[in-house]
Amino acid sequence: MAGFALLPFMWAVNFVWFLHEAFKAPPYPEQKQIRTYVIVSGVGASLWLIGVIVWVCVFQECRSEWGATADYLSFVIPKGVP
Amino acid sequence: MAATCVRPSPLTMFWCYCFYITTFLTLVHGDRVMNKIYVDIQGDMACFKRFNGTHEIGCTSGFYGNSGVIHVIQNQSDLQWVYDKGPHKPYVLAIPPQFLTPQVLKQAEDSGKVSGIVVMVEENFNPQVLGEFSGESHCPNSELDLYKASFPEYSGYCEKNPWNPDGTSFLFMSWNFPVFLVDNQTSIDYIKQYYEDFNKPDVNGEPQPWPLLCMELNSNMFGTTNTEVCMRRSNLAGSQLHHVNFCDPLSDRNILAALNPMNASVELPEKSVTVVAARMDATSMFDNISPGANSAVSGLVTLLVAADALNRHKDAKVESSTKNILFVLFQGESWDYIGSSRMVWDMARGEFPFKYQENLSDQMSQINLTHIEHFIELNQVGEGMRATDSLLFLHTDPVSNSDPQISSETKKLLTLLQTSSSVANSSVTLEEVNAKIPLPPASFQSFLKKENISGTVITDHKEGFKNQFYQSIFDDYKNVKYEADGGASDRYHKHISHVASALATTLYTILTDEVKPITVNETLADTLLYCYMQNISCEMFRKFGEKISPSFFNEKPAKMYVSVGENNGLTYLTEKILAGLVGEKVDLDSDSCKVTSRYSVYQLFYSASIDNGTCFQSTVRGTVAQSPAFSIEGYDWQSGEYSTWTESGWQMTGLMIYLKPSVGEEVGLVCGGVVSVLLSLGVVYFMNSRADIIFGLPTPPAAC
Repeated sequence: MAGFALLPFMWAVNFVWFLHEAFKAPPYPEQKQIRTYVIVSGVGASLWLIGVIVWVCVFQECRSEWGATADYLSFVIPKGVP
Repeated sequence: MAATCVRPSPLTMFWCYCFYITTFLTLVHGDRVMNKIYVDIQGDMACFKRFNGTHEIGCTSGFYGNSGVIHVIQNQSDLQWVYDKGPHKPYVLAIPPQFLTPQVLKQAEDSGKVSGIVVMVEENFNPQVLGEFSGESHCPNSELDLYKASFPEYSGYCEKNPWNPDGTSFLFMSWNFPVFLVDNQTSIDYIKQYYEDFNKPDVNGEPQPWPLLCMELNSNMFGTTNTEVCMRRSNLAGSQLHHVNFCDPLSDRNILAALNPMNASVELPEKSVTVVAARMDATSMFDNISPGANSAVSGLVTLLVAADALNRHKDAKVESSTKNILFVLFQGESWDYIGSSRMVWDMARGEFPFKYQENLSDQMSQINLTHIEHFIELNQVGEGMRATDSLLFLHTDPVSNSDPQISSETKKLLTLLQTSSSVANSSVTLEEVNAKIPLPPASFQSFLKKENISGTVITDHKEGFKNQFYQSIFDDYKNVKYEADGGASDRYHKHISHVASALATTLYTILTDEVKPITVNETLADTLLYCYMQNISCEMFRKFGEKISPSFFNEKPAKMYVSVGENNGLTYLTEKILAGLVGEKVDLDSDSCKVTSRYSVYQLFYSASIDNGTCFQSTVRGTVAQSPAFSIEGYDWQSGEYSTWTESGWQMTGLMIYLKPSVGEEVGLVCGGVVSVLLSLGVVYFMNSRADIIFGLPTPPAAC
C-alpha cells in the first residue's frame, strides 16, 4: 500500500526510524547494508520533497496563466483570484 | 468547636438557585465584543462584478474586506487634501453623487491611497445638479448591434450621433476597490457626525490625531477574469464536493400573452401575429437599486394598460379575427438583448414557446419568425410629455425597409398608428423619424437580424435619448416627473394612458380593420406606475404577489435588474398581473385552479386575496430568458454573437464603522495583555508551590 503513491514518504520514515540503528548502534555485520539503505532512502525522500516544493511554487505562480489546464488540475479553486 | 450544620431542604435550595440565577441574569448583560467595537451601517448596495466573454467589470473588496480612515468629501479641495496631505492612508472616501465619475475614481485608484468609496445619497439630494451620469456607453448594446457587422453605412451612425449622449460607460469599468451606495439617512448621519467629531482636519488643514473613524467594506467577489474562466470554474466546482458559485449567467423569464388563444390544433397563418413588445429590465452599478423608470417601467406599464384596454374591448369581431396580438415583455435587454435574442433563437430552431409535444392535443401553437406580421416596440416613452400634449417618435429600420413589400407594410403601420392616435383623441403626436436613420438600441434589432419584419420602435427621443439618467440610480419617478400624491392632477399617468390608448386603438384596427376608439383605465395606469416606481408594497402588488416571500415587499421602488436564476419576484409578479389583466375569471376553487401542464393553451393562476379567492384563466406564460450562448455546446465566448454576461457570486456585503486608536496604543494593548497573562501564570505557579505555607493547610496524610 505505502509503496504505491506514498513511497517517498515511506523512505522518509525509513530514514528516521533506522537512523540510530545505522549510525549510532554498536557495529554488527548487517549494519553496513542497513546504512546504505538508510542513506539512499534519505536522498530519495529529499529529492521528492524538493520536487514537490518546486512543483507547488511553479503551479501557484503559473496557475492563472495555464488557464483551463490548471483549473482541471486544481481540487480547490480559490475564490476571487484570477 | 463543633459547627452546627443544618442541611437545607431541597425546596429551599431550589428557591435559592432561582434567586441567584435571576440576579445574575438581570445584572449581567452579555454582548459580543464585536458589537461594542463596530457599528453596522447600511451595506446592501454594493457595486459587484459582472463578466462577459472578454472582460470583467465592477468592484470587489479583498477576501477579509477593505478598511480605511473615513474622509468625507464635499468639494475638490477635500479630495486634494487626501492625495497631497493625508498621512493616514489608506482612506475610505465618502462622496456625494456629484463625485461619482470615472475621473474621480480613476484618480483615487492611481493615488494608491484609497481603499474604498462610499457614495452617500441624501434624502433631499437633487439629481439635477449632476452632469453626465448615465452608466451606459454612448451606444448601448453596440456590441450586438444589428448594423455592426453587416451594414457599414449605418454602423457608424451612433459614433457620430450618440443615442445616449450622457453616457459615461461607468457600468463597464473595473475598479480594484469596493464601492458602496448608502441612501439611508441614519447611516449617512452617523458617518458625517463621527467624521466631524474625530476626523475632520482643523481650520489650518492639519490632520487630527488618533483615534480616527474608520470603515470596513466587505464585498468580496468570487469570480474573476471573464465569463469563460468563471463559468468553467463554476462547472468544475459544481462537480466537486464543495460548491462555489463563481458566477451565474444573467437570466430570467420573458413574459408573453396572446390576445386570442393560440391552439396548436389550429394552423397559425403566416404573417398573422402582431408582436407588441416592451422590456422589463433596467440596471445600475449597484446591487438592490435599479429603478429604470423611463428605460423600463414607462414601456412596461404602457403595454400592460393597453393589453387591459384591448382585452376589455374584445368583441366578436376580435375573437373571430384571423389576426392575433402577442404581447411580449423581454427580460435582460440591458445586457446585450438577452431576452429577445433567446426568443429569436428559439423561434429559428422551431422551439418557441417550447418544443412541440407529440400526442398532446391541448398545447400552444409554435410561433416562428415568419408568423410575425408587425413588430411594435415600446421603448423609452416616459419623457414625451409637453406642456399640454405628448410627442413621441416612430423609428424604423432602413435595411429591412429597402424591401418594397416590407416598406409598404411599415408605411401602413405608421399611418395607422398616427390616425389611431387622433381617433383615440389621445393628444399624442407620433412623428416619423427620418427613414434613413438606423434603429436606436431596441429588442426589435434581435428579430431583424434573422428576418425582415415590418415594424416600429416608439420612443420619446428623435435623436439622442431624452433620458439623462439611462441605466443609473436616478432613472426614478422624479426623472419622468411622476407625482404620486398628485392624484388626478398628475400628468404622467395621463401621458402613459394616452400612449396606451393610441396603441390599443391601432391594435383593434389591425385585428378587425375597423376603427373604434379604445379608452384605457387611467386609474390602473396610475396604480401600476406608483407600484413599480415608488412602492412595491402597494395593495395591488401584495394581492397578486401573495405567494412571494414577505421580505420582497419593502416599500421601495421595484428593482428592475434582471439578476440571475429564474425566481425573480418582480417577474413573477408582472406575469401574474398581466394574467389578471388579460385573463378571465373562472369559477374554480383553490384546489382545482392549478396548472396541469405548462404547454396548455390556458394557464391558471389562483389568488386568495383578490375578491376572497379568484381563479384567473389566461394565455400568459413565461419562457426562458437566458442567452443562447449558455445553451450552445462549445460556444465561442469571444464571437460576439450572443450576450455572454454573467454575475459574480458573493457571500454577503456589509459596511461597518469603528474608532481606531493609534498604532502605539494598539501595540501597548497587545503587549499589556501578554504581560498580564505571563504575570498571572507566575503568580499561580508561586501560590501553588507554596500552598501549604500560604493557606496553612496540613500536609495530606500519605496514602496507605
